[in-house]
Amino acid sequence: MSARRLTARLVGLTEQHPYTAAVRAHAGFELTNSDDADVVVLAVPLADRPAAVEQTVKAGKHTVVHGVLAEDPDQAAELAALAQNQGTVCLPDYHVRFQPAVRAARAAVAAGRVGLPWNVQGDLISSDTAAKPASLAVHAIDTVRALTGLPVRTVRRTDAGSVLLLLLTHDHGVTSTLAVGHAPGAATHRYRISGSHGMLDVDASKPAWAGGASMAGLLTELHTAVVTDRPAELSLDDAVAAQRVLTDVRTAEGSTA
Amino acid sequence: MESSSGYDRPVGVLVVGTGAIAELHLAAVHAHPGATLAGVADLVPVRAAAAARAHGGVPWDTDLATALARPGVDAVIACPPNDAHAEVGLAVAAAGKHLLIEKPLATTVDDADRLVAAFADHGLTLTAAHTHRHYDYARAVHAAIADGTVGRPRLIRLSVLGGWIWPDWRAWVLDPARSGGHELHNGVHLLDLVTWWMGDDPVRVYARGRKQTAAELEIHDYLELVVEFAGGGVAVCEMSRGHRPATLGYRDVLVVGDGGSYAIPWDGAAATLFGEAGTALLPVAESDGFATQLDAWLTAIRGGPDPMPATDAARAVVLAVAARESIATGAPVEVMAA
Ligand SMILES: NC(=O)c1ccc[n+]([C@@H]2O[C@H](COP(=O)([O-])OP(=O)(O)OC[C@H]3O[C@@H](n4cnc5c(N)ncnc54)[C@H](O)[C@@H]3O)[C@@H](O)[C@H]2O)c1
Repeated sequence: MSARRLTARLVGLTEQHPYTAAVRAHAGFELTNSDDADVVVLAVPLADRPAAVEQTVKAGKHTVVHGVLAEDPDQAAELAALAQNQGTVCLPDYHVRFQPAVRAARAAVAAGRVGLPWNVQGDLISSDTAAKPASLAVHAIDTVRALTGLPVRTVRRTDAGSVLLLLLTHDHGVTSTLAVGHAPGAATHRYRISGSHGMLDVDASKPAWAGGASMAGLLTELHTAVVTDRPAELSLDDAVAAQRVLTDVRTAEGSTA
Repeated sequence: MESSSGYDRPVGVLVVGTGAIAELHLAAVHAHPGATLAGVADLVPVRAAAAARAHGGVPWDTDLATALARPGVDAVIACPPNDAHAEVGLAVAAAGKHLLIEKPLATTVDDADRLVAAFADHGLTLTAAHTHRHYDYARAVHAAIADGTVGRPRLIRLSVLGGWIWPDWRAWVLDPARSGGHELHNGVHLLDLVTWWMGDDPVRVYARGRKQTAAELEIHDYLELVVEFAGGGVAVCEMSRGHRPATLGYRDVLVVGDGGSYAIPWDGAAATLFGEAGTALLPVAESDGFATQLDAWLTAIRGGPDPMPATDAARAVVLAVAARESIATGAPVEVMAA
């Protein structure tokens, strides 16, 4: 960890929110209420979000955005482009890809330990019955993209109420299937990657300390990108890509289905 | 549960098609006090004769009509390859015998309907061997849904994954004309189970298939079968013989309802053995589904409840045929509620 601490301002996050604890616990950050903060973590209602993102990015802040950037994916894409031009480090809060079991799985897949992947199955079933399946879905979609390194080409959706089922296709004939939603008492979060030479079962609800670690991982990615000037492994473009999978089948990263 | 044991005279059973799976049915017959083996038949004389000798020297035949006419034959357990089910089944109905036929009930929807009608017309019991319904895990899932544990099921996931492909190119299962394809061959097991569990009418099937073991396969060794139900629930079935490692044996169930969830994760039905040769799963001892299935069939023959109505088996054929079509066209297929 670099010695340089970044000041971070949290907007819209309660004291109880896990991100608040994660920022507080992270050696690379120092909480502030000042407008001079290096980093802004935005968790504002969707209606206010595009303006908030625009203002923060234009102010030259490094930013973490909770949720989609804007309801309209085209507007979201404009905001992502704005961030790109501004040269600041702006990330969606896709922390699952930094979850310790997922991180190990990404390394294993990239090292060929299951051979050529041909299918991913994922389940993200939350016990929070207020959670919107679509809001959970972007995390699962991002995780599949991170695990395989492959964009989503086509989407088939089945809405079963408290559960949303997504059948995706990627390049090279790779398919994935994601079930996202909620049920009282549920805590299922897992990914299974089938490959030409093996299969990898990843329980993303383990180990017990992993929830905090995934957010810490995202914060470390942000911190490293800011202090070393190397690009972060994800950007607001990833938020737009995941959103398009849900909102616009035809333009899902070049989909024709 | 009502049982068929305790009756005066055991049901005389003729076993037709004495291949691999017939051995499990024969073992169940021998273990059941309410059944007795009356004979065996197979198109291949050496198989019929060997089976007869191995099973107490019962009469054997290669001609089905002759076998059916033998004294003491009340009912038939038929285990020929899938494409012979319709012909054998219709002959059994015509001879006035009850039938436990291996799955799939038939390889076409028309044949399945013909069989259902033929047995209904004669007032005979027709049961397809959807053996999974008698396995402990399947009964546990059904009970958990029926007793309201999960509320209204919204998602059911059932994955049965293996890497064991049929031995070589002579295997009839690899020939879609004989097996109906993997959708009919093994897909029906899962399609029937999730429909039984969901307790609702299927309305749409969307499926994806792969030829993972060899590009030259004419069947899909990996199937992903998505069934949508009238009440808005959805099921995802994965059936694979195309996974690696080849020794893989993996079964996983997840049910998510609006009132809770229920899971039998792949490692949830096994102990872990840390041995000198490495770490391995030690599956729990499960009860014998073939024995339970036989008992249920004998009970139905004797007028008791029929836990596997022939119409359910015909519905599984409809779903499997729809899945095959969906894979071929890439589009969802509407199915009429059975
Ligand atoms: N319930 C289950 O879990 C399960 C498992 C495996 C197979 N099966 C089903 O069991 C049936 C048999 O499969 P198997 O693996 O035992 O096959 P198998 O090839 O080992 O045996 C089939 C036997 O039927 C004989 N036969 C072929 N045509 C016949 C005919 N017209 N009349 C009489 N005999 C005939 C063959 O000579 C052979 O001995 C298939 O329908 C299959 O789908 C069910």
